[in-house]
Amino acid sequence: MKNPFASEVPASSPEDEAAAAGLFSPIGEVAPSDDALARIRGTMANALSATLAARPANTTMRRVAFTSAAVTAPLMAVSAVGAITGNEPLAGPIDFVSNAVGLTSAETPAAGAGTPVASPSADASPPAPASASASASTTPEAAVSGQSRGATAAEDAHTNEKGCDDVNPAVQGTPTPGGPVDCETGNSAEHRQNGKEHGKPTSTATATADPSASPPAEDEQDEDEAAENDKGSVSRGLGLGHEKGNGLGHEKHGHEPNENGNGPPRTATAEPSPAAAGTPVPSRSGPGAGGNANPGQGNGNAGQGGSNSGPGNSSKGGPKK
Amino acid sequence: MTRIQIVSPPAKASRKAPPEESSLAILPATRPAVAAPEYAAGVSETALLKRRDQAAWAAMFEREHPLVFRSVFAQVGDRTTAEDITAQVFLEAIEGIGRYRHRGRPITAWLHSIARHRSTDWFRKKWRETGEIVEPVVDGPEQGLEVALAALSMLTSEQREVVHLRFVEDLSIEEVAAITGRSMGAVKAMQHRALARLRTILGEETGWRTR
Repeated sequence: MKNPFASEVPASSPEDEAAAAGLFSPIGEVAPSDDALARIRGTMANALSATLAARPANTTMRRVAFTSAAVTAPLMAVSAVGAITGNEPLAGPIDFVSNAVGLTSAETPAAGAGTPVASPSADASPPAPASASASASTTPEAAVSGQSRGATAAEDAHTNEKGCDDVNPAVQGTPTPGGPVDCETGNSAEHRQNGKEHGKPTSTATATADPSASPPAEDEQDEDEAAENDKGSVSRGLGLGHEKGNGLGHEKHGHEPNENGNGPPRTATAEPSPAAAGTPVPSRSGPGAGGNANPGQGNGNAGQGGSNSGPGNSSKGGPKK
Repeated sequence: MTRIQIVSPPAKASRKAPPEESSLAILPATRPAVAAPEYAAGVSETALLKRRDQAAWAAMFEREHPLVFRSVFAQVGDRTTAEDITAQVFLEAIEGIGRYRHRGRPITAWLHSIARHRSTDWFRKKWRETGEIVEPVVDGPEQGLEVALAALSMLTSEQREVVHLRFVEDLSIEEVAAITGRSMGAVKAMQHRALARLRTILGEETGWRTR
């Protein structure tokens, strides 16, 4: 049956085809010159030789790139799994790394604390042996050693008169906001950046900072500056007097309230236990928040911290601009 | 499935014999007796070309460069320009052989498409430079060639391509369809319209029907 929708293709008559063949036959007689052919052959030979010579180098580079990716990819996967399950599949490697850098196993933070995926700032810590040479993009290696670095960072944060955030930059000179990922001492972003005498790390926190690391003398000095300048912490923890009780969740850090009235209120038990003081209180879900294990606790401090405006304010938290 | 065999056009007496010697030892000077590969053989030839095999490339060049050159010449109408574009076509083929996939069409179709694109680029470049449509210029007192090129210039690029492959290269409808990537019905229709147009324009004044 003939398809009514199919159109018949008209065919050229044999006479037209013969005429066309005769008309266009002179074109078939055209050929390139001998010189042109020789030139084309030479160009082709050079191109073939060049492509063959370039091939082995490219292969080598691809192999190197593949090797490095093959090493880091499993570490990324394992550390991510460890964060989800709470297990410590990398405890062994972490211990090895910690011992290699001089840290004890007790100081090694648990794998479940914090985010295993290290922030770029966590990569800057030199104690990580193998990963120190790696670029900041090698997050798996940073994740492996980031937890040990977190303990070191948390400890150094209270001894070097600088914030947790400055530990790594102090070593490598590249400041980054937010501080180490798994620093349990000082939960708010601004605290970590400007933290000095941020209190004692709690036992629940994997970071075990030396309580005596916070120098009271420096604290008083900063407190005077805070009172003098009547400045409080700002969102990035740059304000003076911040160490004393500014920032969200600051009151959890357990040190004495500021003389300017800011900071945690004086209580009967003026000496909070280090465990309570060091309870990580995530005030916000900032990057690398080590206290994310206790969500919501810092939220109650947000309003309190925000209402501080000057000395004499009995509200918690520090003055804010 | 109909197997289409691409055969080289029969050697004409007026064509020059290939050079006896070549300045390059890699590529053979004389035209090797290389038969047009069938599709089964085309697969293995593709593999050799991908490996940058000198001999395979030499054989392919000797087999395909006449068609490529004439296709380009039919488009641009200038011998020197056609030679340059032909060189570009084969260089581009060497660079892009890694991306070439044998999908049942002869490698001639691939080279032909490259030649068509380079010819189009040349026309566009000339248009940008001069602002005028480039007319084919025949160098030398070759009236027949001049008329042929003038006739081709009256057609569209697609019709020109079909007419060239059909009546210059003496390829069948099936072969033209395989090279151009069109259906046989499309090739027939295109040919019919092209010849009808030529008949209308040239008419009896040029002896269309008397040739």
